Amino acid sequence: MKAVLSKWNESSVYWNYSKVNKVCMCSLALVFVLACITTSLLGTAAWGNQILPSGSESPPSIQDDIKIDMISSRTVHAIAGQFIKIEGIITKLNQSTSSNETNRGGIAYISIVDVKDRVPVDLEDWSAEKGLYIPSIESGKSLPLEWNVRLVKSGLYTITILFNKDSAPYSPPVTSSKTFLVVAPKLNLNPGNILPVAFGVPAILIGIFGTLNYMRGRKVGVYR
Amino acid sequence: MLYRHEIVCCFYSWRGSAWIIAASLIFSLIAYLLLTDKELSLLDQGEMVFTLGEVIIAMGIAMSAVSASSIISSEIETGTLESLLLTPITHRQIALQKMFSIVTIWAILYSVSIPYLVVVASGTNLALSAVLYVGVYGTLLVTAISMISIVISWRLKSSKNSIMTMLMIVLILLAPSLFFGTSLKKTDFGLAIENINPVSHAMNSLDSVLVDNEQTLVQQISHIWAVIAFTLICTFIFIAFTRKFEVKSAE
Repeated sequence: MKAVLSKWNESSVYWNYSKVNKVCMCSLALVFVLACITTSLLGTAAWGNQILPSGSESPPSIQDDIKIDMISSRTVHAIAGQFIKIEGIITKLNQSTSSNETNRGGIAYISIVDVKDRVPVDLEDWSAEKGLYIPSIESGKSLPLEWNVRLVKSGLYTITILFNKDSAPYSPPVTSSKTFLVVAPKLNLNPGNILPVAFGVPAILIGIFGTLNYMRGRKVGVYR
Repeated sequence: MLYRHEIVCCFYSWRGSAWIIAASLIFSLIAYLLLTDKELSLLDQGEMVFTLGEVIIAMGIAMSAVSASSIISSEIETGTLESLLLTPITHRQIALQKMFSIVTIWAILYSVSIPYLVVVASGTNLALSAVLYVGVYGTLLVTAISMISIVISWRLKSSKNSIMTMLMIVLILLAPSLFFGTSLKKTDFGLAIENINPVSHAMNSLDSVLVDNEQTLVQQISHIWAVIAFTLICTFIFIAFTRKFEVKSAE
């Protein structure tokens, strides 16, 4: 049996380097394509410059008989990734003339506008509850409003609370005064000690495989 | 002996080890981006671990498909299959040992990925689940894909054709997870494709474990069975087609 095996070892050209080369080149090309697909899926966004607010705070809006006061401070400074609370109070004034409207409610919601890009922000990642349905407000009473907002991206934003009355679907919404939100970028170069792993593992592997290759080369006479 | 020879040939050359180094560089890049990019770092940590798990399994599947799809055909093309068939082992054992050599490379790739999974999942209770589920699904899928690739490599008898065929199969298997949008996945077509695709089952199960925190085996049993069934089907095909290799060169 041994004789047969050794004969086979000697006679066969087991590893054809040219073919292996082709296969490995294909493999590396595939790895590159996969890496490109993955990184393109992840995506990155450009850093935005921050512009400080220069306008003055507008007074609370009163339309018909509804008033919304913003309780949160006029300018909020925070870091991307933080959660902040946006608070307001909605009040139904004693001006109501129609008894039908006494128990009518509506939807209160927040609107965030990116001042630099001049676009409204899609709140999907920012807040789990965009709107609060208020079934009814009695005249002369107030209700607290509160949203938890996650600051996804750095920049300068304005936040406004709006209220759409059920009784007047075609009239413009009641709005609160604006709160300016200054979101600073989050800078952390080594979160969770990723750097030692990200650089250490490939370095160790290169070292191990390099040593193996060198030892093999010494053995067969490639390196002298 | 053949198994040892395959492994030694793979790791005594830069070409063989390049897979593992390239994979570790990709894992490093993704893990670093996930944790430091100003928007990606705001992702839920479960989402981050899930993304990394997807990449690890996709890398394993791609690696096994490409390596295994040329493992018999390259022997035919270089004229060494005849010598191999003279050895006192059955043809099926030759195929099995070659398949185990591919699974071993996956095992090394998987071992390399564990530190990344642990670091990205640090501070949560997801690290152990991530390591276990990625290991289970990766091993089952890599074994199945390796067996199918060896069969295709034997049937087509050409490395170029078998690699291209396997790449197409791998892309089709990975497409629902990588390229289908959420809305397309929810259509009847998307649901049907995901129900019959073992890779989608594995990815959906990882999503369920790491994002929705449904970590028990009982909650994932439907997905696990689907992947096991796929592996069993591939095993039957492998057993049926590797009974006997013929010594004929490609025309």
